[in-house]
Amino acid sequence: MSTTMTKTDTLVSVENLKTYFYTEDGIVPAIDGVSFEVKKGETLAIVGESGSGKSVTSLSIMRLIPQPPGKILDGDIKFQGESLLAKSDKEMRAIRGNRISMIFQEPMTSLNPVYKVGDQISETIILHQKKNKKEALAEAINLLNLVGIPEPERRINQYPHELSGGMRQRVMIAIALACHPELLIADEPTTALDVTIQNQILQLMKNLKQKSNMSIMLITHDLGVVAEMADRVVVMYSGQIVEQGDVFTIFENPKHPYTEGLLKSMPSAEKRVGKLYAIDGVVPNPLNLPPGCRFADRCEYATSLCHQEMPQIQEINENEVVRCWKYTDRWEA
Amino acid sequence: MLSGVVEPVQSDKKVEKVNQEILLSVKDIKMHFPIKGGLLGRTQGHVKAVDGVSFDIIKGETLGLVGESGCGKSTTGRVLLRLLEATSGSVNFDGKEIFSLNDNDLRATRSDMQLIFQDPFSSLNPRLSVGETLSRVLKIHGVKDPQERENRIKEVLELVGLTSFHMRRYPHEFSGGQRQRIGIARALILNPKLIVLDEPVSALDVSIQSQVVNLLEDLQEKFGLTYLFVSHGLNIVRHISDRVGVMYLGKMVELADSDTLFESPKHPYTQALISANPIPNPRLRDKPKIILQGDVPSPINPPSGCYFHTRCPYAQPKCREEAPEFVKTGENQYVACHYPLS
Repeated sequence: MSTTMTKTDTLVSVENLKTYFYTEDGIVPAIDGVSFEVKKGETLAIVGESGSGKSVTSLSIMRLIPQPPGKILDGDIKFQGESLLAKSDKEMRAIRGNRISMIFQEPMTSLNPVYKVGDQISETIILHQKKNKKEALAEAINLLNLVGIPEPERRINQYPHELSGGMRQRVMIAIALACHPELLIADEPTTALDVTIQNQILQLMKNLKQKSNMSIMLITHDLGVVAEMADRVVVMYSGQIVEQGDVFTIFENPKHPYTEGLLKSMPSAEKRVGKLYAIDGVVPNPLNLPPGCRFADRCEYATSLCHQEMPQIQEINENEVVRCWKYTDRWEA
Repeated sequence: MLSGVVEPVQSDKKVEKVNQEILLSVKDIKMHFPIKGGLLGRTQGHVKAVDGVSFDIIKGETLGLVGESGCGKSTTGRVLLRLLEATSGSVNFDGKEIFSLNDNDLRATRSDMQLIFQDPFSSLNPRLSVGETLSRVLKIHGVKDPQERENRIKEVLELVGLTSFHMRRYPHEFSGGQRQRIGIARALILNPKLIVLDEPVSALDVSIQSQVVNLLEDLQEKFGLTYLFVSHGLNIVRHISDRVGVMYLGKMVELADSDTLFESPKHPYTQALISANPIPNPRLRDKPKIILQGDVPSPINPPSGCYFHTRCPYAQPKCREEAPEFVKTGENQYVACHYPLS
């Protein structure tokens, strides 16, 4: 665990990214000016509710946005200083699964049901590492061992449906790690799993990270998982970042009213309180966004300024960024 | 709106029930699904989804039912509403033997026991407006006067935080949280005594979850409802339940007061489940956890003796051979374990 961030080298930097979707009903600004960095060796968690843009952010980094209807309108994504948006499809293919890899929420739909597990792992190795089939299968056995699958020699000849949900997710992780990526994007990796299996997978990810110094971008809606895993946290709401900071600041001293509300509305695991705190209302319709702060309608502090004008994202402390009028000199309490 | 920022009240209603009147009593229910296969479609085995579960639900309480997928918690909820015909066992609801009712009596009894589903979208008919969906419920249960039906619908929509304006809308026009409110309205419109809630908030976002949980608690208080709350989310179960039952592979392994269960679990599985539950506090992340090895065994061919012995960190030879009885170990605490934790 790296509570004291000594390694400050940037691995990925997302700069003012805008990814819009052009639908029949209108334009959906799924990501609307998002900037953040993933540092080498850190785990960055991106939290937000459905529709907040967290998954679209990760798909944009992988250049996997379906086009049309999607389009990256503006901004840049730099990986080790090089723009990913400027790369050709061929160059991207050499990066995907090799230097940046991804695991998804549903391990059943992400594995091919008609290929044996061993073949699916070795495909990546053969493609990126110039190994022959025999060497790749031997490597696949090593990887299955690494992710804690018993009897890997037997498992490589099995099909995905013969494995349990937790096992499938381990296979996905094995594929993702096959080429020792610099960045692992994990999109809700444990949401479909039971809590005792979730625990196994989270411990596995922690152990693997310690061994390899890769960075993890963890996308989740579960604040319990964030607390367990993250060094830093990005909170998204309605296509924008509303707050960014290190995990202790976010949990102990949240600045944005939305982050504060989310944390307060969690039922406690330790003791029972009376009523749960609830954030009133719903997320704004992305086809018809308000001109001001997108959280203003649900915010208990909102003033007329919040409804009229969108607050800008600003750094309020070292490593702490927030988008809220409360922290500007135009705020009159 | 019924939800929103409500002052925290001490939930005293959770403390003492003077007259502990039993509303529902479940005795040794089993639900074995046959596996058909082969050329002649013969039964080749059984999935023992629920394998001998007994418990009572006290009037006005919330009983939580937790466990991992495939443990039989949802099936239990369905069996006691007789949406599934149980293999054996009995359920007594408000003095009636549910499993021996004929169709007419069963329909009449169903107005007293309702179900709310996890996915509010697939459980609403997309072709019917909300008003029509609710109106059908009333029609089937004998409310003939259209004006009376409309009044009841308006009333119940307001109760769940919607308005009469929503009557003419269709399910796709609502957000997930609103759809779950419609599901609640549908269950509530017949003035039931018992509501079985099957993962009612699992599909909702965090900020919407608490709105719906608060609504459920308000309605319970207002109408003296009794809930069976089935969920895999431990934190939400702890929050809403008076008592909690833990299931593993079709059996109840522990049943106790919410606080007792979470603070001093007696069954090793309960202990592991609570330990695995991620706590939203980054300072506690390095606290050692009990990590269970392996997966839940198949309910087609469960292990011998105690079903949990294959994963239990404390298993002894006896656990492999003999199935433990579900016995009382303390006030309001029942556990099925040869060597309960102290």
